[in-house]
Amino acid sequence: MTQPIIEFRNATITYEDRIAVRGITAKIYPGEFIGIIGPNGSGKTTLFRGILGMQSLARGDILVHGRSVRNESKSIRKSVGYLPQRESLDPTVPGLVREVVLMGLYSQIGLFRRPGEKEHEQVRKVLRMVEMEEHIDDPVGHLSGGQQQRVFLARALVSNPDMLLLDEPTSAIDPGTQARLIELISQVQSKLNLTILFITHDVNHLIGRVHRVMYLNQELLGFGPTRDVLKEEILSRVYGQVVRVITLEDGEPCVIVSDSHV
Amino acid sequence: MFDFLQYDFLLRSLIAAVAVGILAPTVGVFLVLRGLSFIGAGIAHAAFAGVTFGFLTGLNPLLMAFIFSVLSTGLIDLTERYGDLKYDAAIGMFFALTMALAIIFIGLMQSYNTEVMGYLFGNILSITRLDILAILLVTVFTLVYVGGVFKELHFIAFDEQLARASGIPVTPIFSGFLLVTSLTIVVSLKSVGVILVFALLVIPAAAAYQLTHRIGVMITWAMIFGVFSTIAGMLLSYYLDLPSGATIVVLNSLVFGIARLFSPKKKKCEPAALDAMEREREKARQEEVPSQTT
Repeated sequence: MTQPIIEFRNATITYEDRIAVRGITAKIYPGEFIGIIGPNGSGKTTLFRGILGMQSLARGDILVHGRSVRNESKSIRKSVGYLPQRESLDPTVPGLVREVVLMGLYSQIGLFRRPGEKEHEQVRKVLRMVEMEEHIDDPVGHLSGGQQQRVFLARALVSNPDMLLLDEPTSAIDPGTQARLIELISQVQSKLNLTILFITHDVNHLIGRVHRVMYLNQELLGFGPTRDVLKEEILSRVYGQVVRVITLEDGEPCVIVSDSHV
Repeated sequence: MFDFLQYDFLLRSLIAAVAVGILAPTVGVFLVLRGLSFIGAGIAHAAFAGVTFGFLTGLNPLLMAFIFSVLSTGLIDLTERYGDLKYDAAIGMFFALTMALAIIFIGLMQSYNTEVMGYLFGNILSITRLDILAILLVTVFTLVYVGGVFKELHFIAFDEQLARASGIPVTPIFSGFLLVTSLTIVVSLKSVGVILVFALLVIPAAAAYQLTHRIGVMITWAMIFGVFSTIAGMLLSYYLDLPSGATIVVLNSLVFGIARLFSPKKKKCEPAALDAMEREREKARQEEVPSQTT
């Protein structure tokens, strides 16, 4: 039987002096595309930081490739591609597209060593994949929001990880650019058979793309295939608002959040 | 023109000017990019407290300056981490505390000490052979360290959390960087003084930032501006009998003004510039929208 790539074993993660995520038990398998939804402060980002060993585990454990984040977080971090929320990045810091993508290889290259031709070729390859090769010598600060996200996606991919953690990659960009970015992420996922954990506030982004959805609000409220768990009562419970799931003409479901409280 | 080099003290000053002009902006670039410029002022004042403590107790003033500045940097970091304070508040607190200590140590001295005042305002023309040796050693050490972890420092400046998440040992690398910053400030004190060493850390880096989007180019420009201002400041202070530290800082500020004037980053509102910006926007938009008409 296939071994899970990530296994949460009753994981309770603290953030500062409070419990952010409580008692999560779940398994994620190689090649799965997982959507993670939940309101602000529900522990989604903390869950990612827990997987990377950057947040304390108060109870339980998280295993990545069978290794515990408690004592092998450094090697785990090197095998995971991570795209944090955009506000943590500072595009005013001087940096060309090639330099920013290369940053994804720095931990592999090591201290007191410079990137060589092999690393520069990896950068070109991954920029080609995200259709940004012609911008390789542009300053990142000159790019539009959507283009910057492609560059940061390339940075996460350049070390050939088998898992990507994407924290709201579509926030603060317009709907058209969001759709094209998600399409690109889907293509990359199927082409490389990556395991992807994708945090979003827009449930509709996940429909027809992800294999399973994780509903989180400090605890795991639901985890399963999109259609099975795309239920009005679960979504309403997650967001604290009345949520309707309607079926469009093409048969695809569409989620609408009303302004009424549950 | 170079007849002044026949004087030994001027030759020493010139060497110090070049070394400090390279050294301070090299670390200054990363302080500016991380938004930690003010820590230079904090460390400089802690170093001055160490100098005064050294003169008061008869211990080596430069060694005391180093110990005080490292202690202060560590305490600033701990206060920020465990005191629920932002970095600038923690720096401000220790800036005031160490200056207060320096004033107390001066007050406890039996007589007025001109050497202490030399450290406060700086005098590049009073550099000794031992000072030169210390400056050159720290310059070599700093250049080797910053050169060795250059790419990691760039990553940390760009996004510290992401660097951490990518497996970069952020804490030891940045602690090492703060250590070389302390060393830089301590050996630069005699040349430019406590008050003005901060300017030499920040202004050449800020001026270089105006001119480029590449960090390697930014460091090169910062070094050029640093060396230019220290050498020109030294010569002006010699020929016009001006205080060297203050002259260096005024020249630095002029350089910043000129760099800003010619900065490609400057937002221009001339019609031609607006047209160019519109064309760039249109090009970016077209690149993002794939052709749907075919």
